[in-house]
Amino acid sequence: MTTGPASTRPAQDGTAGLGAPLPPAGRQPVRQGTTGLPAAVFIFAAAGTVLVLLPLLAMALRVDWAGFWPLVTSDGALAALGLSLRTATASTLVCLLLGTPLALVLARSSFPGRKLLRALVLLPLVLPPVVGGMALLYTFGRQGLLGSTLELWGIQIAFSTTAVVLAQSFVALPFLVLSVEASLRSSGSRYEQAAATLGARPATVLRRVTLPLLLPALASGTVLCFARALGEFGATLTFAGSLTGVTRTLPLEIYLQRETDPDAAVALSMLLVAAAVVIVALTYGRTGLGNGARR
Amino acid sequence: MSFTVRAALAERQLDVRFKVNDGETVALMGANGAGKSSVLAIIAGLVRPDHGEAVLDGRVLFGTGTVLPPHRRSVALLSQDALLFPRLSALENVAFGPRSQGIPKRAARKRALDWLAEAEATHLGARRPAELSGGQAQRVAIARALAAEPDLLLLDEPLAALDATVAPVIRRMLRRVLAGRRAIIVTHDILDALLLADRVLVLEHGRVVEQGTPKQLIAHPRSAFTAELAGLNVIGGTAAAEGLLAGGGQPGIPAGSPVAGTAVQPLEPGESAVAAFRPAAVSVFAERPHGSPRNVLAVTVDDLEPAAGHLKVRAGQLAAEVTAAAAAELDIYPGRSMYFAVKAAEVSIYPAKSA
Repeated sequence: MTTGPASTRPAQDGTAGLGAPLPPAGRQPVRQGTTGLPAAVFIFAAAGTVLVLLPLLAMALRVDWAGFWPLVTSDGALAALGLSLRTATASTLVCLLLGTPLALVLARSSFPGRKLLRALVLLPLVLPPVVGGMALLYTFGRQGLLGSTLELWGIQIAFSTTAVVLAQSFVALPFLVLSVEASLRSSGSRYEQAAATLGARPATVLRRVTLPLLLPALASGTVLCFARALGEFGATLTFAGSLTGVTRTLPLEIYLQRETDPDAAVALSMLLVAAAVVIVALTYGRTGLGNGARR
Repeated sequence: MSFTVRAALAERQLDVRFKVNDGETVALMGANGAGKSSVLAIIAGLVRPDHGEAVLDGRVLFGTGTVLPPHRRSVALLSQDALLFPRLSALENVAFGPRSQGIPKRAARKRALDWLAEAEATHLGARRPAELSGGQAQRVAIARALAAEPDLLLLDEPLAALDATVAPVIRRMLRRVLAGRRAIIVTHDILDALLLADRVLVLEHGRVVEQGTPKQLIAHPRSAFTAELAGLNVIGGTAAAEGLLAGGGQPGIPAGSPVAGTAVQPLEPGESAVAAFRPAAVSVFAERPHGSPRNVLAVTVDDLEPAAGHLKVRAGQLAAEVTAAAAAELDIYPGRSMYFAVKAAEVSIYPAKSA
C-alpha cells in the first residue's frame, strides 16, 4: 500500500525531464516546466526522493506479510493502537479548542509583545520533544510547578493517559496555530469589515464569516495536528512513561517491540506508514501542506 | 436630520470637514492618494481618526469620549470588490445585514428578496458568489448594503472594478436606488458625479478644496483636478490687473509668467486665482507668434494622443487640440519645443479658494 503512491514519483520526474510534464489528475493547467531545468537539478531531486522513499521500501520488504495480520492484532498492538487513536483524537480536540482562538488573537489583534508571543507559541515546533516532555514534567509532575498543588487535590497527571494527551497537545498545537494563522493573514480582514459595517456584532462576524472562511485551514490544521499527535514519542515517553494500555501508544510499542519482536515492530510501523500516507493525501488534496505550515 | 463629520488623521495628512443632508448623495472626488477612501474608512469605523467628530442624525459616531464600533454605526460600506461571503448564497448574503440586526429569518429573507429585486438581481438569489460575474456580484453587494437599511451608505468606487460594458448598467441602477438616499460615493469618474451625486466635494492633499453641484464644478473648475475632469487647462497663480501671474510648481509653466484673461468676478490683485481655458482654444506654433494680443507659452511636447476627431498635444499640465493635418504640417512629436498660444478672450480667471 505504500509503494502505490511512491512509484508514481520517479515516473513523474522522468517525464518532466522530457519537457512534457502532465499532471496525473489533470487538476492544474500545464504551466510548470515550460523553460526546463538543468539536468543536475533532477539528479539531486532524484537523490532526495530516494532518501525519503528507499528506507520505507526497505522496511516494506522486511514485512512478514504472512504473519502481518496476527502481529498487528495482538493484544498489545491493539491496546497501543486504541490508546493512540483515543489520545490523538483528544489532543487534536484540545488543539482545535485552544489553537483556533490563539491563532485569531495572533492574526487579528494587536498588543505589545504579540510577535514575541507568536514566536514562543511556535517553540514546540523546533524544540526536541524530549525537552518538551521534561518541561511538562516540571510543570505537572509530582514536584512540578502545578503538579504539587494538583496532588493536594488528589489529581495526578504525570504518567497517566491525561499526560499523553498533554504531551501530544504540546507538540501538535503549533501546527494548528500556524495553519489557521496563515489562512487568516492571507485572507485579510476585508470580509470581516464588510460584515461589521452591515451591523454584525463581533461574535456574529466570527461565527458567520471568519470561521466559514477558515474551514479549509482548520481541516488541514486538524489533520496535521492529528498526525503529529499520533507520531508523538519523545515527550510522551518522558512525561507519561510507558504503561501498557495507559500511556504506551503505538510509537512507544514499536520502539519496545523492536528489541523483543522485530517482526511485530515492523508490522506496526507499516501501520503508521499507512496512516501517514492517508494523512499526506488528505492535506495535499485540500489546501496543501506548504500553504498551511510555511507562511 | 443630517450627517456632519470633522476628522483629522496625520498619517494620511487628512483634515476634512463636511456635511451630508438627509436624502443627499455626495460624491467625493480627488486625485489618487487625496485621502478619499480614508475618509470613508473613518466614517465606517474601520480607521480611527486622530481627532474629530461625526454625528449622524444626532447620534455621535465618534467624538470626544465616544467611539462607536462599526456594527453600531448604521453606516454600510460598499467597496470596489463585492466581497460577498463565499459560503453563503446571494440571497443569504443580502439577508446577512437584517439577520445580524436581529430580524427573524423569514422577515430577513423577505427583506432580502425585496432588495434583490430593487437591485434587479432576483434571478441570482440562489447562486453562490463563485457563480456570479463581476457585475452580478456587485449587484448583489449593492442589494446587501441596502438591505442593512443604513442611515448612511458609503460607496468606495463601486464601479471601478467592472467591465466598461457592465458599469453603465450598474450605474443606471445605482442612480435609481440612490435617489433620495443619503450616501457618499468615492469616484474618479465625472460620469458618476454627474449621474449619481447632488453635490461634489473635491479632496486635495487631504482637504476639501472645492465643492458644488456637478454642473457648477464642470462649468467653473477652480483646481487643476476639476479642470482636468471637465477637460480644461488650468494655470494656478495670483490675480493681476490683466489676468494672473502663474504660481510655481506647475510643470512647463515658469513661475511668474503673466496669463491674460477675463475675470469672472472682481478679484483683488495678489489674491489666489486660477486661469482656465479649453484645449481647443489653444493654437500650436513651431515659432513664437507675433502680433495679435495672446498668451504665448514656450512648451516641450510630452505626448500626442488621439481624441475624437483630432489629436491632443500634451505638454506638462497643458493640452492643446489640433487636427491631424495640422499636427503633420507642424511636425509635432514628443520632446519637441513648441509654443502654445491662447487668446486672452478665451481665458477665464476664477478665484482659487472654494466659496
